[in-house]
Amino acid sequence: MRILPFTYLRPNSIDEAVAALAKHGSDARIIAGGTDLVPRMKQKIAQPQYLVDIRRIGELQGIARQPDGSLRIGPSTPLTRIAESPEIRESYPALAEAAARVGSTQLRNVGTLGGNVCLETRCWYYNQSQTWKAARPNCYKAGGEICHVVNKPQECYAVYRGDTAVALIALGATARVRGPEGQRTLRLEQLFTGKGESPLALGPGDLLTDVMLPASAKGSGQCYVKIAHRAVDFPLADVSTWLIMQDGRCKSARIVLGAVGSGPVRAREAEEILVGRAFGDDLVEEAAQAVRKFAHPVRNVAHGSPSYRRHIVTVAARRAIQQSVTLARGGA
Amino acid sequence: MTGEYAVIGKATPRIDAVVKTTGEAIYAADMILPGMLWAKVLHSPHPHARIVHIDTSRAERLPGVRAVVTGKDIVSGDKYGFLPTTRDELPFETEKVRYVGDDIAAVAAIDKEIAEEAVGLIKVEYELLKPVFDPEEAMREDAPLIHEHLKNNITVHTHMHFGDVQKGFAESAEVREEKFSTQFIVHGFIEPHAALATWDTTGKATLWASKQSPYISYRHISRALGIPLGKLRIVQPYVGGGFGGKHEPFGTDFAALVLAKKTGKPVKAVFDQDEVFLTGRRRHAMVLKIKMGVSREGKIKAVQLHIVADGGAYASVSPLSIYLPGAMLPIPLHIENMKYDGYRVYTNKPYAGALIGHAVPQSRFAFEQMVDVMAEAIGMDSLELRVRNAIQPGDTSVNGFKITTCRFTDALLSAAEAVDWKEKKGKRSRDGTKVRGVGIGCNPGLAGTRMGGHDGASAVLKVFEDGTITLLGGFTDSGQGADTVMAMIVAETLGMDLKEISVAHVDSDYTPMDPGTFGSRTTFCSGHAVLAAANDLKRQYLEYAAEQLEAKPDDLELKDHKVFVKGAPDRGLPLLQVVRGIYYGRGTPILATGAISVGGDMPDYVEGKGNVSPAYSSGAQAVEVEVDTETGEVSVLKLAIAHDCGQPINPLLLEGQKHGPAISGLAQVLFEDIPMDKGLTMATNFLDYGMPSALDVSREVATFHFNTPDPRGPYGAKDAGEGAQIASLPAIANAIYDAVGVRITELPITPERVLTALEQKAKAEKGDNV
Repeated sequence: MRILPFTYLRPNSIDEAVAALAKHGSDARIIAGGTDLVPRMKQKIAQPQYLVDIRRIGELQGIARQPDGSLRIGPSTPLTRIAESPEIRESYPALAEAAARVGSTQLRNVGTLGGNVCLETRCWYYNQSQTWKAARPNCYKAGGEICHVVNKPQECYAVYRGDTAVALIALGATARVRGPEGQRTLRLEQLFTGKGESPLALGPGDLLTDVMLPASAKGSGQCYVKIAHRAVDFPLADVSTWLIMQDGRCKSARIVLGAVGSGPVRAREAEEILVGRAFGDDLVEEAAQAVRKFAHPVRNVAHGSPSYRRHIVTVAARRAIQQSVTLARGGA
Repeated sequence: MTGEYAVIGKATPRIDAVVKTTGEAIYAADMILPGMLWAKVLHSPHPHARIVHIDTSRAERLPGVRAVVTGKDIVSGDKYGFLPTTRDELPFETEKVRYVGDDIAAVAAIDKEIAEEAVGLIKVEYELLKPVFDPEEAMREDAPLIHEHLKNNITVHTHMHFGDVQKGFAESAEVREEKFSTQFIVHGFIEPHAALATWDTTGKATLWASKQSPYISYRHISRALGIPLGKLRIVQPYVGGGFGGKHEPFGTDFAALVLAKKTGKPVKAVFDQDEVFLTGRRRHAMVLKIKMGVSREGKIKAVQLHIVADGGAYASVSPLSIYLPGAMLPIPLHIENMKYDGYRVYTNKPYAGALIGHAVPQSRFAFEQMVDVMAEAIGMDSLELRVRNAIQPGDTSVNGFKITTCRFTDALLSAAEAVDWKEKKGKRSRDGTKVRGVGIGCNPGLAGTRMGGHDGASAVLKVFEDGTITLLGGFTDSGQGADTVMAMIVAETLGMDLKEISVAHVDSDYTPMDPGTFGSRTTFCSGHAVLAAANDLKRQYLEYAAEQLEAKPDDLELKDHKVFVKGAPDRGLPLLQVVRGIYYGRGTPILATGAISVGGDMPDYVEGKGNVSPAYSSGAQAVEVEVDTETGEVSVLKLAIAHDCGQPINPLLLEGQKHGPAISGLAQVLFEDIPMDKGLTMATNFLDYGMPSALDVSREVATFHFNTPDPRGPYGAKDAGEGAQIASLPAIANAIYDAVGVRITELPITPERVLTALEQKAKAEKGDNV
């Protein structure tokens, strides 16, 4: 499979990158590791005229503790560095685990945190070659009329299967974005639209410049659980939880689900169930069951039917909550 | 035993290991010739449609395009196929297409990008026909016909009846019936189909292509394109895996050849992996209904098996594919009476053919699970039941297979012991949500079945004036290590160092012909030919030396690069002197030849009679699995592979030949699947297909070889490899039953199927309690 010709740009600073992106608009794509973009270019799903390579921009790299105790991660930081960072393993084990579970060693060595967060949604009717696509009219996400999964016009159920965003949202991360209109800061979950056809709330000229994690709170526990077909696969379902325990009760909780819809999603009702009540297996089970209504898998990925993914997302939630509570109690 | 040999039986790194590791080995897709063009094939987007008109004009007008060809450009060819009765394939379909992926046309252009763009400009007008995807539906009277000349879309029907099954069932203490089903899988070779061709003005066509059986493609291409055999030259570069999927010609071969003829330039065609998934061969998906009866003493009295195999759009090697699952049933566990009906059915899908273990894994998946069912029914340990039915040397199976050498019982017991069968069977040890169980399955093996008319194997040894040797054979090293094994046979026979033997790859202009690399025949059959050639060379050396030494050839010995009178090492000649004497003294080239016609019975594709292989092997695999009852995930903790293997030629390669297939069997059970959506292949890459990596498969693999030097094998060798693919399937299924008490009858065994079965079991048990 051949890649169509493109112009390769390699800015040295955020300013240069933002200018290049602003100039070429939707004709340009950001490339860092390229592990998601290049296969899509081979399949002609992505056909950028310009590639803006951000790997030379030093400001987008690195892991640094800030004076206020928060942690700043440059989005071009390779996933291996995230997974192996002593700082992250100590203070944000859920993120370290999520990064360690992305793809294979080779992919993590080149793939970046920003790339994994900004992963395109996937669908087995969409992520196919040109040869395959000759057998079906283009789907809605690919510029056609109907979604082949539900056979309805102008809908898209492509799945968000990034790993690290699920953990980052659970940990209360924020993102800084530079765009044509300047800089803005948003909660990480605000990066996602929940729409399969356009999953990211980023304009063509926008560049993710910083991922910020709040200082780790006392008495908190966190966990990331991924269930996948093989060790190297995208998740069939993944869940990350973060909670604070105080006097045997949960004071605050975040439960985030991935790979069961078009974006990562917070299971707020499940969070509310946990807060303020005496802890026990029944409560964990009630919360785990409550995540189910936030999962909307459809039949569009290999090796995981919708009913199976609805089931395992509750299993993953139960395991993540239990582990978080254990860690919170140990840390309290 | 191995102590007698200098080379045979020694663990030896393969002779091609270095060039393959450094990347120096040249594969078909690496090759470039001056002025070469790139080809791309146009595939059908419809599962079943009549071709009304093909307009190639826009593609031809694209700058950089040199030629476009369709089936109409092939004027002298004919339909090709495995047997005269199954010739149903054309290089490019002209009248109708029968599956999504069917080859219609091809373009040659000055680069790959232009070729790819140009195929998109070919306009084909179709008249859509009603497709049929389900083989059982395809067999109905009112089903659309995929090949008009065949009723009910049945490609082949095999009926076997040995003994009297009704009598056998009547004599059984218990009789059970069950239905099983298996999925499509692919070979999963990393090197896609690739070809480079030239066709000169004298009419000589040359094809460099990735082939595991170059002579199968050679004959098919000769017929399909109307090229006399002497005008077609097929050359086999290094091969990046075959596993049964690289016997036949593919769109790459025809595109390269026909476009080379039309343009007068070398043309190269390489499939992308999506094209391999869409148009390559695959393993038959099957629905199997099996009935088994056993006596109180645990004797398998009768087995009745009915198979409907989803064959896809063309016949491929289907007579063999539907013969083997029945014919191989009565070994390595005896069946007193058996009846088999196999239907191989056309559907509008990519088509099925050979894949390591060729159609036996499916029937063994059903059979070996039934053995466990029956053992439980009569209250006997399933290992014990197997032991009571185990084949022994000198036995003849109910269908006439003659067992020469065999240590199946030893293999069975050692595999079971390796997973602590006695301690663990039925114990269901639990850790949280995880439960463990053990299971066993057995497999037959054969050493070179006769497949068609030509059953010979031959070899030529060409000696250089320094005494080193090139082996010219018709066999192919498809990754299994044949080059190394053959070189070892030559080295052993002539008392030479392995480094002094080089192995040429198949080139039909220079190497002798051979049926191909299938049916585990290479070491046994080609090995024999190589051994015979080496013996011929030895005879030539001894005869020349006898003249010089004034001795009888029979009194001479060849050892340590020296020919000498037995018992009198001083009366001898260095080998180099012998070689030079022949070359310079006589002026003759030194060429030695060897051949064998194994002479097995031709498989009876209609009634399944006959002893088709010169030797049979057998094996057993035992596994310990862990089932997560909450997620349904199954992990294989330990895999024990035991088999009788003749005399191992190279234990290192033998080990690999057991591990690889056993793991790929595991992959079929737990990982791989090709979902189809109205004839469209949904898994077109290794991400969606789910082939496991080293991280996913059993961490602990134990192998047990029971040497059974076979009097008919070269140095006593038998087969290895294919058998190990088979036993993994039922062994894992049986272990899951042992762990959690559910019998999964459908492949693949997905976590969801495990959970569903567990839920049904819980419901049933609850119902019983009410």
